[in-house]
Amino acid sequence: MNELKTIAKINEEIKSIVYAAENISLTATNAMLVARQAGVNAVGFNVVARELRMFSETMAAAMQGLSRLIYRQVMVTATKRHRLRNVVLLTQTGTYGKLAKTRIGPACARSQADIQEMERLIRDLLRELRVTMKRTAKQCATGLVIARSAGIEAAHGGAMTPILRQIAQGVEEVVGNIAETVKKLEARLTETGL
Amino acid sequence: MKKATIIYQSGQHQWIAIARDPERPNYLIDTNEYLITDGSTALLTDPGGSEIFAMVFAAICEAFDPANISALFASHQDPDIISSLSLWLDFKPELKCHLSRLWTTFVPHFGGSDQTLIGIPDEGSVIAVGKLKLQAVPAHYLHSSGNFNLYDPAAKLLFSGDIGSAMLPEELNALFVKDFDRHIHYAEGFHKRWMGSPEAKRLWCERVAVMDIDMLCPQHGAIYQGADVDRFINWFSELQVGSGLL
Repeated sequence: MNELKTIAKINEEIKSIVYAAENISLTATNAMLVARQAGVNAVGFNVVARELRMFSETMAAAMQGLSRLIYRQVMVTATKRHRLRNVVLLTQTGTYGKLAKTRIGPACARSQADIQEMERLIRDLLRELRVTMKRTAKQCATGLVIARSAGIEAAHGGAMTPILRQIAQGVEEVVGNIAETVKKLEARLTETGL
Repeated sequence: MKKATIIYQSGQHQWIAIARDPERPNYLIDTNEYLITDGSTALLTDPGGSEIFAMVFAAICEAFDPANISALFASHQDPDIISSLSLWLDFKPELKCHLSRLWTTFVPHFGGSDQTLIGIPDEGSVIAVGKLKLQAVPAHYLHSSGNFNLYDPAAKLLFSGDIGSAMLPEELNALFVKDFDRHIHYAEGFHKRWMGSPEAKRLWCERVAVMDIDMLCPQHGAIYQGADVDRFINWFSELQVGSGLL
C-alpha cells in the first residue's frame, strides 16, 4: 500500500476514535443526570462519570493532535511524491546528450536534496506520531480502569442500578474499542514504517 | 525526440520550432514549442506538459543552451501548455513566466509562485527578450477566457497558440502547411469545438488582418506562411464557431 493510502486509512481510524470519544462524552453526561436522580446512593457513579467525561475530552484533544500530525504528514508525503516524479523526469532528460546532462544535473541534485530533507521531516513526524500514540495508549488504559470503576459504582445505585450498569457496560465497551483501535494504529505505524 | 528547426534567422535573432516527436505516445497531444532568441537570451512559448519536458529540453539543447532561456510565455492555462512549469523551475528557479493575469493564481497549481508569474493585462503588453520587443496580442476566448498570442514585429512571426491548430494525420505531418485546402480540413473540427465565441473570433481576425505576418505559428499542427496566413484568417473569419454547434 502506498504512503498516502496508509495515511488515509490511519486518518479514518482517528476519525472513528473521535466519534467514539464524542459518544462517551454524551453517555457520561447522561450518566451524571441518571446518577443525580439516583441521589446519594450514586455519588460514586457521578464522580466516575465526570472522570469519563474528562477522559473523552482528553481523547478528543489527543486525536486532534494526531490529525494535525497526519495532515502535516500528508503535505510532506504528497510534496515528496511530486518531487520524486520530477526527479524521474529530470533524470530522463539528462540521458539526451551531453549538454542536457550538464544543464539538468544541478536541478536533479537540488531535487534529490529536497527529497532527502522531506524524508528527514517524515521521519521526525513519524517519531512524533509514535510518541503521541504511546501516550494515547496509556490514556486508554486509564480510561478502561475508569470505565470498570463505573461498573463497580453502578452496583450502589439503588433502584437505578440496572440503568447505571447498562450505561457502565456501554462505556466500557466503547473505551475498549478505542483502546483496540489505538493498538491497531500503533501496530500499523510500526508495520508500514511510514 | 523532438526536432529543433530554425524557422527564422536574422543575425542573432532566431525562431526555433521544437516539434514532431516520433516517440510521443498517442495518448498525448502533439505540441509545438517555439524558442525566440536574441543572442544569448531567449523566451520559450507554451513549454508544454511535464510528460514531454525531457523531449523539449533535449531538442532545445541541440540548437541553444537552455541555461540562457530567461522567460516562458504561456498562451493560456491548459496542462499541455504549462504543466511542465515545475520542472522548468527545478532547472532554473529564477525563470519568469508571462501569461494572462486571469491565470496567475491557477497555474501555480502546476508550480511556481507570485515571484514566477507575470500577469499580462487583458489589453496585452510588450515583453522584452534581449533587444526584442515582443507583443502579447489579446486572443481571449479563443479558446481560453484569458488567452494571448505573441507577435514578433521584427521577424513578422505570430505565435498563435491554439488558433490555427490542426490535428494532422501522419502523411500531412510536415512542419509547414503545403496544401492549404487539404490541411484546413484537419483544422475545422478543432476550431468549431474549441473557439467559443464568434464575436471574439471576429475581433481577432480584424486585429491580425492588419498586422504584417509572414508566418502564423500554432501550438499544434503545421505553420502557415506567406499567402496561407491570409488564407487562414479569411477561412477562420467565415467559419461558424461558438457554443451549441456540436
